[in-house]
Amino acid sequence: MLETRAQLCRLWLALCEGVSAKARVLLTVRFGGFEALFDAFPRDCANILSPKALEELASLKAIGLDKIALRLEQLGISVAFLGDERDYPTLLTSISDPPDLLFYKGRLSGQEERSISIVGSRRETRYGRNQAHTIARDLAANGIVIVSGLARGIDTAAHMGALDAGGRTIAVLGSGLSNIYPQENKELAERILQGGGAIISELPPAAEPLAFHFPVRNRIVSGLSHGVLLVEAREKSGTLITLGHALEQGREVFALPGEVDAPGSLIPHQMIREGARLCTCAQDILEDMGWQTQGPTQTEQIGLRFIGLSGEQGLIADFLQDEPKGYDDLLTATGLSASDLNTHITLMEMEGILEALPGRVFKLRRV
Amino acid sequence: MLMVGVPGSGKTMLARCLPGILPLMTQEEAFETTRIYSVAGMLKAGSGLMTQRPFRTPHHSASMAALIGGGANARPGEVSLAHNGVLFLDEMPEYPRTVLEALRQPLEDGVTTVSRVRAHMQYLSRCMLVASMNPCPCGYYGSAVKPCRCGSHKIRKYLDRISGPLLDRIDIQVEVDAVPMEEISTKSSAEDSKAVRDRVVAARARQLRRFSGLGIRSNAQMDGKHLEQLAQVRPEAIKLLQKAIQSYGFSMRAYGRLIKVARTIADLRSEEFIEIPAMAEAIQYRRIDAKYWGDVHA
Repeated sequence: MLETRAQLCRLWLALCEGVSAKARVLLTVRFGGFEALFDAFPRDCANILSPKALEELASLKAIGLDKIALRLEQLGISVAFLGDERDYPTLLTSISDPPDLLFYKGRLSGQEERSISIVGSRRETRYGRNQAHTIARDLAANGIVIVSGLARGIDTAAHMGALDAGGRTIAVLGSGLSNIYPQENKELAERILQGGGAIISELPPAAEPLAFHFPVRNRIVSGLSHGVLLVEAREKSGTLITLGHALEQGREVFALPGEVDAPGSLIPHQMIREGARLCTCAQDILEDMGWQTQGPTQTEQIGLRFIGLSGEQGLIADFLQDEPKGYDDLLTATGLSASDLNTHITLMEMEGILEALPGRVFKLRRV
Repeated sequence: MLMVGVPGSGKTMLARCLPGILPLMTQEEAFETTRIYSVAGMLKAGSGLMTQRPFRTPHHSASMAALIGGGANARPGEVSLAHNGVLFLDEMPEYPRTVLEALRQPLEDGVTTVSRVRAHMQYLSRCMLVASMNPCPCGYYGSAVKPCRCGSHKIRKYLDRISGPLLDRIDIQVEVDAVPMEEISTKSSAEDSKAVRDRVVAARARQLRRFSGLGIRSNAQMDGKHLEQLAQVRPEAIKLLQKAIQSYGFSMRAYGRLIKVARTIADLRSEEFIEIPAMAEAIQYRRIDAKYWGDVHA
């Protein structure tokens, strides 16, 4: 929360992207504090800061501290300072290089919240997307905060899952808060805020989504949570960086298994071999973290729900028990006429008992 | 009709078979179509009345004027040349979006108005739109044979080239499975075009009887009043339809269109009433959107 002049000066320095963490420390040590630095600027700064940063800071200084604060307020952006116990997330203080301050919209709390990060591929499969969504939903229903990066793919599915359970979810951006990336997730960001969550960034609001921002951002994703769940990742993915951070930060690492020959399973399976915890549902995470469950979790096995189904629909459900099957297989196995099968499929789909997949394949739904 | 399927699943071939199962034009229809060809200057010398239904396949580089009609003399476009026949758009997402959107009105009204400085013309354009597309840019989304290389973002962008309102106007959306090699070479037991055509002709005859004296010829042309009086839907089927509308969020337009499709299915089966199976089948034909791209959109 923004209150003192010292904080305003600290904010002033943070608004310039060209000031590295190292430069910040050097400057504050040299001047003995942010206020002294602000007052003295630009005297004695030239050998620490680049000409570009000097210029930017000078123009920010010319705007004036009060105006800067007002501008942020107009944008609806709050600032959490490292050391402020009211809104700076406690979990984040435990990592080796926490951001000096966080820009955020929505609600942040200094109190420790049970939270899990869900990360994974931007080129996800239907399977990964569904699982990330379900697990996030079930965790959120148990009061767990879901942290992710608002990227396409798994990130989006995780945020959506949490929102569908009416839960709280936090998105950590690799760009400034006024520059939500990717564009199509603007609406999702809005929903996250409405759902009582937060979107946060350590970068100034106008920062562009540059490639090198994301690996640095990833340390916050893992830092904000007690554990990180990996859903699908291919070789050389940014997800690996998040996992590296998680291990360094002493966070629990979970991995969702996939099909052995799917490209997205490569990294998760490798992680499991190296000691990550295998996770198949929200319950696995809750148990491993030693968290008591409050809401519903999904322990029901496929099929249990359908015992009560009537004759022909029961036949169809039975046949789909083990794995999704194609239309022609269903036709042969059930011995139904095409028109009867169509009718049952339509009805069962409407009841939410089965799901039609591309390629005329049908699958029983886990609910 | 929209056919979705992996490359090489025979979408184009199926479309080309279509004229073979359509009944010959009635005399009235033949006059209409011949007139349009005459205006376009496309009537071959020495040929009299056209009896074959037209099958038009404009390339996806075709201009708006070529497709809808236009030019200095307001010539009829492909959509009118396909009047009483089939307009086939192969690889629909490849067509410019503006062109696809412009198709909406002619398809809905059956009439195209072309206004130019020197001419203001109305052409009939009641044709069957048949389109094909791959499920995603690489073509293999949902395929069991080859993995798809596209992320959900890419697939969504591809699908976005076809607007919701346009998709809403396509009554029959089917998946086309790849045909295994052995089935291509061996003769399968499926009906041949002749048998199908006989059924189509019988169904058309039923419709002509149904609509005699009403000034319309087919189920597709029914309006709200006709639907109520002539569609003959069983109450159970209506209930199913209402439930589908609730669970799938179909539009009001879809409501009427579903009944028309179900009516046609019932006609093909020589059934007096629309029963649950016919309605269920009609509903299945509208589910492709959700099936392929439902969770990509979510």
